[in-house]
Amino acid sequence: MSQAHVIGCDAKAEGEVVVTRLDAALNWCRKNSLWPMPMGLACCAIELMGTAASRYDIARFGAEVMRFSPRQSDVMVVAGTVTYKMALAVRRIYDQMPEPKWVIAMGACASTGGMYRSYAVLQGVDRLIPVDVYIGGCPPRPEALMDALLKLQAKVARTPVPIRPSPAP
Amino acid sequence: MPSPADSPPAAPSALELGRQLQSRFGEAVSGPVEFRGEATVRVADPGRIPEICAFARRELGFDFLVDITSVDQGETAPRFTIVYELYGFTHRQHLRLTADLPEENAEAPTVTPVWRGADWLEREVYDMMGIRFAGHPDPRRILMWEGYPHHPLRKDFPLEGRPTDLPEVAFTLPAPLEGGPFVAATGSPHATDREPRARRPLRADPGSPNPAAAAARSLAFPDAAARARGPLPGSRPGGPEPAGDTLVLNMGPSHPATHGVLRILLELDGEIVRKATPDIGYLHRGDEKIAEHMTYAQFIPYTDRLDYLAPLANNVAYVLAVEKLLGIDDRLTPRCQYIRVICCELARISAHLLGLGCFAMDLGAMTVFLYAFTEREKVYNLVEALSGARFTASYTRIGGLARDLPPDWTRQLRQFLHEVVVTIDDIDRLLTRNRIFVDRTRGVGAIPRDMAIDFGLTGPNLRASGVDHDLRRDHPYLAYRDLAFEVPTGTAGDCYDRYLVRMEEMRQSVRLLHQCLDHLPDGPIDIPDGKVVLPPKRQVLTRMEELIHQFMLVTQGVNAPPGQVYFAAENPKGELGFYISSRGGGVPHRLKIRSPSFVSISLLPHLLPGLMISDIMAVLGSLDFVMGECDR
Repeated sequence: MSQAHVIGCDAKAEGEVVVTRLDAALNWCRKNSLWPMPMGLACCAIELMGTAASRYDIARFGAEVMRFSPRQSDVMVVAGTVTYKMALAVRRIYDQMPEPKWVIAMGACASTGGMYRSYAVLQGVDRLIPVDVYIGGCPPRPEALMDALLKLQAKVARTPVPIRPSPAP
Repeated sequence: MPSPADSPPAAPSALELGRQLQSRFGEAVSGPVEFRGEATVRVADPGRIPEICAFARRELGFDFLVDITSVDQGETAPRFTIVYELYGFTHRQHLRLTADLPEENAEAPTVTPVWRGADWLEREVYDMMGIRFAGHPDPRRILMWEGYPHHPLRKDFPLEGRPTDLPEVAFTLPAPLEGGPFVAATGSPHATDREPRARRPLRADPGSPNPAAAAARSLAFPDAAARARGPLPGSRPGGPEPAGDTLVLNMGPSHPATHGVLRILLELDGEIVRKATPDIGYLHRGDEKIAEHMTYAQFIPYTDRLDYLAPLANNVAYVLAVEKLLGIDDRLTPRCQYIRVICCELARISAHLLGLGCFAMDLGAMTVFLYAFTEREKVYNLVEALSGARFTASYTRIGGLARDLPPDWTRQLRQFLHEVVVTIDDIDRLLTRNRIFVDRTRGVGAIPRDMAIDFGLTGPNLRASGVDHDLRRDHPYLAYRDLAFEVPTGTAGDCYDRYLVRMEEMRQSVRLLHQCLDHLPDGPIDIPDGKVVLPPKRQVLTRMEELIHQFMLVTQGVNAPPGQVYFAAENPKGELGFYISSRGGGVPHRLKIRSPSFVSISLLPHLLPGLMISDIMAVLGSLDFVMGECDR
């Protein structure tokens, strides 16, 4: 009975059927199983590992499946300094990720270049790929990354699911 | 482990060795100059450097090339100075050779026939400073990409860089020195348009004003373009897939086993590696250039981010180098010395835990990684209590520390030490006799003793090859002279030995930390010198002299004397050294970071051929390098 209450479904009236919008159902699935592409570049990658490891356990948010293959990931976590030498590789990996996809810019370097205002560092990964959530900090704490993940989940939940119109006969 | 028979009755001093060099070569070599206990010999004719180096190695026992550095003297002629740091394991002396090179003919003969490790060091000098090396076997850029038109460490090259564009490879834009437009170049809203496959052929785009969009447009199929331009670096002439049975496999720069952004081009014969060409520089952030634009104290946070697994140890190594330049390294207070030792050893445990955790995870033992991270989180708690940050601590200051130990900290550290040995024992039980782990590491990636010395390998990797060398014991700095510890060494120099050496080093670190806690002295943490350490705020507000000191330190930095020093500390990865060339004042003229990870990676072309692909993970994991420190 409490089960029915939790998912907001009146079992007596509706039986075993849940009626909701397709958007809501798809996004609910998506937001709770975001598979990160750990673009671990520098120091922030250590905090990303820390977030995934024993104490913080990112699995609580359904995002523990770190995939190093971009073809299997939903959200790229750009963790660290993007240098110009690395920039096109980051872009290429982003391009290889299937839609829908999101990007978290983790830390000051990925967001703005951070303390590395120099000839070798791209001043923010948003100059190459669109970023959904920025995290401050050098490096950000794992809690900040989790907060970013929750913010991203909120964003995923309200993203309209594009339905391609069927081609004219 | 028994000490090698390396204590001859009268070990010659560096100055005597320098004089021997002079008596052998006469006019070509100036007499040794001493500064801060280091002997520097100037070579008048750069053409004779290989001859002199060969003599220094064969006759004078300088078998270890620590580093090659270059200095741009700017307006002063001759423009460039090239600096060789030599060290001998038998007499344990350090000698510096310098040679001046004119701008119009910035070329020196290579010393790769003397030390094979000079290969990458000379490539870096060429890349960063534009000095060519005649006879170098592989004169390519190393940190920046082939085709980048500038040499960034030259004084006439601005910190923010210059715009360049090498289509399909890389572009650069000048960095804004304040503010910054945070405009995303999202491209088309449709995924199909953004997919690289959809972009062939490249769509004609009416001139877009957005440089980032233009750069993004040029991204389609970098490899196809590279193929059209010529063979990939490291592959045989004739294209990336040469004739015969070999196949070129690109590993990295985004690969879970490369521990960062390392790229290795592999030529494979089936599963066997025939040739491996590492490509580094994907995390080259310009630390050395940045250092020339700020005071000594301001650079401390950047040292956190070199070896970001052991920031505390980097902080200590860097400030010790600056203190050596200032000549105040013997005036550090006892409490400061002990706390710095605590920092170094805590960092060593933390770094080795992560190194071993990742090593084991790459070989399939996920449990070790989780166990190791549980302990690392406790270290993070300690570092956070100490400095406010979880690992980018910036805890040291020139002449002292940022603050004293917080209350109750020593008890927490003691408790951690009791807990971490349990975990080390657990890891020991999980791995040391684990059949799979032993089969995959024993006899794999063996580095013979001679090869390790020839390349200038340091730290646990060197000791695993059987060279009994540890700067903490052989050149004791801080309080290491008063502490008892063993230096573990290996015999075979394979992956398994490197694992065992690290395990034992963690136990020795625990032992060192217990001793530090037992003997931790009371007293001040900063040396009482207002010209070096910021005076207490209350005195700044009430007294004239302290106010002046505070003003000078904040605006000008510490006033360093002109000169050059090299200081190296035994970091978890090996010998992290800082060469500082000062012209006086609060800003270094040149700061070179001698990175142990750089050297470890330079061995890969010689270690990997003949191994299977799956052995690469074992070798990379056991070398335990950090790209932040390798690329700087």
